[in-house]
Amino acid sequence: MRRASGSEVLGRVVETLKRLGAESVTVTQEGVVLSTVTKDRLRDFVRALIREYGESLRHSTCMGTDLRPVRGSFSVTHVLALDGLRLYLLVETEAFGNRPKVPSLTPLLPAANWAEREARDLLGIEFEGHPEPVKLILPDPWPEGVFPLRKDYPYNKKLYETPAQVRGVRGEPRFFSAKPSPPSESVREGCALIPVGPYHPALHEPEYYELYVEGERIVEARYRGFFVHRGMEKLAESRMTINQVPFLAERICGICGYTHACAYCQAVEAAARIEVPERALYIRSILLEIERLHSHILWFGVAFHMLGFDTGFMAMWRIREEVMRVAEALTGNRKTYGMNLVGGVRRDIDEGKASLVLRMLESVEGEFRRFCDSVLSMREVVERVKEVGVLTREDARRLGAVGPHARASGLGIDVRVDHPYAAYRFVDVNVAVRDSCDVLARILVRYDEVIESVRLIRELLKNMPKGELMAEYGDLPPLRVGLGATEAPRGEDIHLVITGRGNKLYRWRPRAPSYVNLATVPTMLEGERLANAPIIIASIDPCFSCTDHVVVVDLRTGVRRRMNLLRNALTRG
Amino acid sequence: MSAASPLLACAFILVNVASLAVLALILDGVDRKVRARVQRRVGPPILQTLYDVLKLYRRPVTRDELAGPFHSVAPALAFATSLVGAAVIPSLLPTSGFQGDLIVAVYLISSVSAITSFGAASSGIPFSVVGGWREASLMMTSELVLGATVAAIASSSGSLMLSSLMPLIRPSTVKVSPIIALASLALLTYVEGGRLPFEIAEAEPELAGGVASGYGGPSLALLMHSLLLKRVLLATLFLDLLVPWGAISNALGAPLGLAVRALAFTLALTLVSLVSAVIEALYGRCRPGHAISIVKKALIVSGVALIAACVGF
Repeated sequence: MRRASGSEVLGRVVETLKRLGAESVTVTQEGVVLSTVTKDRLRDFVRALIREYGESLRHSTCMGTDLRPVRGSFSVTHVLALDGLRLYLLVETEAFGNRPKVPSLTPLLPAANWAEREARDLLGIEFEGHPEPVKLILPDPWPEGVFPLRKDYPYNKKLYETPAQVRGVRGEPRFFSAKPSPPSESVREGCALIPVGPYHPALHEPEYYELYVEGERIVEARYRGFFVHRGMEKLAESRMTINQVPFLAERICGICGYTHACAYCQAVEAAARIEVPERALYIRSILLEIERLHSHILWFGVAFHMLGFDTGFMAMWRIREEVMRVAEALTGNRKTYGMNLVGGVRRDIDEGKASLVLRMLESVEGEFRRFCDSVLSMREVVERVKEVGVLTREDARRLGAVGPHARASGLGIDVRVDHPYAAYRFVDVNVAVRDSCDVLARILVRYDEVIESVRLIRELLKNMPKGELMAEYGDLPPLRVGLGATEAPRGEDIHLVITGRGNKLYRWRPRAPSYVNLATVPTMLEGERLANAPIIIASIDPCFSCTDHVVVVDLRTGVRRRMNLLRNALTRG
Repeated sequence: MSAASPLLACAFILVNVASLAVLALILDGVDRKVRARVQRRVGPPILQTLYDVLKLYRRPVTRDELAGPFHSVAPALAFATSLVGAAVIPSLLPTSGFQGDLIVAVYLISSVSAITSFGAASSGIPFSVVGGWREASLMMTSELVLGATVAAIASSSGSLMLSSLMPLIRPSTVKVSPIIALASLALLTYVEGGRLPFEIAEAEPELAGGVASGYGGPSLALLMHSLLLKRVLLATLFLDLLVPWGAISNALGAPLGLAVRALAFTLALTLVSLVSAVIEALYGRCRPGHAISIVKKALIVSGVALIAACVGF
């Protein structure tokens, strides 16, 4: 443990929370404090917290839970990060009734916007005083009063059984459009609309940006996402046992899946107080860094492609290929490693594999440095990304940006350091921070992180202790809250779980880093030139599948309908 | 050397048009192969662009009710214009030419860009409109460069007929202006060829194909083909002014001279393509404003060449 004063800090924070009016304060796991607050006092409580901790308080996410079968109420748990103090504060509040109401925190903490709307869509919890109380996740024609994540909504229920039902009562096709809320009248009248999405070469997954442009200048940008709903939360809560979910969690993302598997396992391990063997923690960290390597190098390729520099794109993916081969040698898979179970890992890294990794690091580091150094010394490339897509430190803080994106705006937050997990408590991580707040800064931060990952893997391999790979444990204690946080390649990845009976989950709420980073994109696009839009969108390394994983929508939304959406947008523009 | 009889002249023109039309597609295949090799890829077969175009011709014609009437005509018109360009400009085989064919050639090449951007502008698709706007603004600047360059060369050689212009050979004394003008024409050949970093009108990651995004099937094939043909025409114009092809074929006499000329010309075109492809692989796309400002610098250079030519340098 590197922090000697950890318990003092914790004691002081617990005191503060009690003084500010929390009904109960419990330390649920190392670095996590759960306080319950009545809903009438919630806003005052959070306001007092903001006064107390100021800038260092960050709204991370919130989880709505249907606790009616156990407690007869709904609960809303806000996750507030105190990065400087290495703590997560869980603030839980209860609400009763069929349409429960709790005060919205968005007016105080704008980063709460999406998470609250998600709870509203899926659980029917109303957030009083929310500035933008419109649908976020469910498509616009979704029937009123149907909330898929409530416990009384069966996971296998189909909203529409027959094609006729899908078409609707009057035989009109239901357009499952999900348009962003429209901008002001003057913007709509005076500007041309460029629809970027749901299908666009710059987006590798379906998302929708509406860019209102004057000539080539973007006047206003609107975003709507959540087109790809896979219903993972519902699936995990209804059908899976705790050791099946790691494999589902890993499939949240095709790039950084392992980080989700880790965050999930950490959350359950924390809830059940399972001590994971040190060797397993090291193996997790090594794999997480290998994943970061491949993810960042992949991103460099995509960024070069957005700049039209395909030679760079190809070079990066060629370099990345070696990382993929090593991942396959270590885990059996190039991606979706399938290495985690609650309590440890499934495969060891022996000396032969370790030397394979070291050899890979040697060549990847060399080639990556050589290529990127020469590209970053090209004036044409630097000029295209310098002072482009600026997100000021204040905006990054306000909107809750995380990961390399936040670090490029001068915020030195990194879960590996702020809330150490896996083997990061045994090694020193150098956090790359830049403060020019533009796309160039994001490139440079990721460049430094690739080099740092290489260093970390070497150090972890050197220090890895001998020992077991799995912890032994019995049945899960029910209704315990656990939080797992990892630094995914794109930033803070948070998984909250509430354990259920029979080794199942009562509630699982993963929140991927892109979820919060995406909300910053419209701010960065406004005032920019259209030609810069792709690289700005790409600069946060958006992962839509991560963001979109959460909902049950079993509606056959065909390609033609989406095209109609595009067509509607066009005729309007 | 010009063809003696009108019939032979017609045959020469037909050969030129047909071979440039095919070469345009094959040279693009060569480009793609070269770019792939620079990027350490295997790349598509050299005939891939030809296969692509042939495949597109077999696709059904689609109509977009949002598009204006000019949108659907534009590709055919652009293709016809570039074919006429291929007939006017001497290439593999000499054409008899006429006084002022230089101006006609410049006009035809510019028309292809103009038609493309008008077609895109009337598509009603925002990406196309922006792409068309980019094409038009790049064209307007670069046509000025082309005009000034050609005027400089014409004025220093005292002719407006392509076959009699040999700016680097004709004058008994070495002049500066044609050299500057040719350098600026070389840049322009590259820029107007729609190559990176100047490929801003299609810009796939930004504009989803831009000027081409409203087209599919045969119209897309025609548009692609005419843009590629325009690229070859620019290179042909440049080569015509750089190398005294007439002198080569005259020296060897018909038919050997003609055969050698045709072969050498094809090789020269391939060389231009190879060099351009390698340059292209080393660059990313620049911002539209930046692209235009580079062309404006070329305009200053060609302006200098024109003034120098007028005062006799």
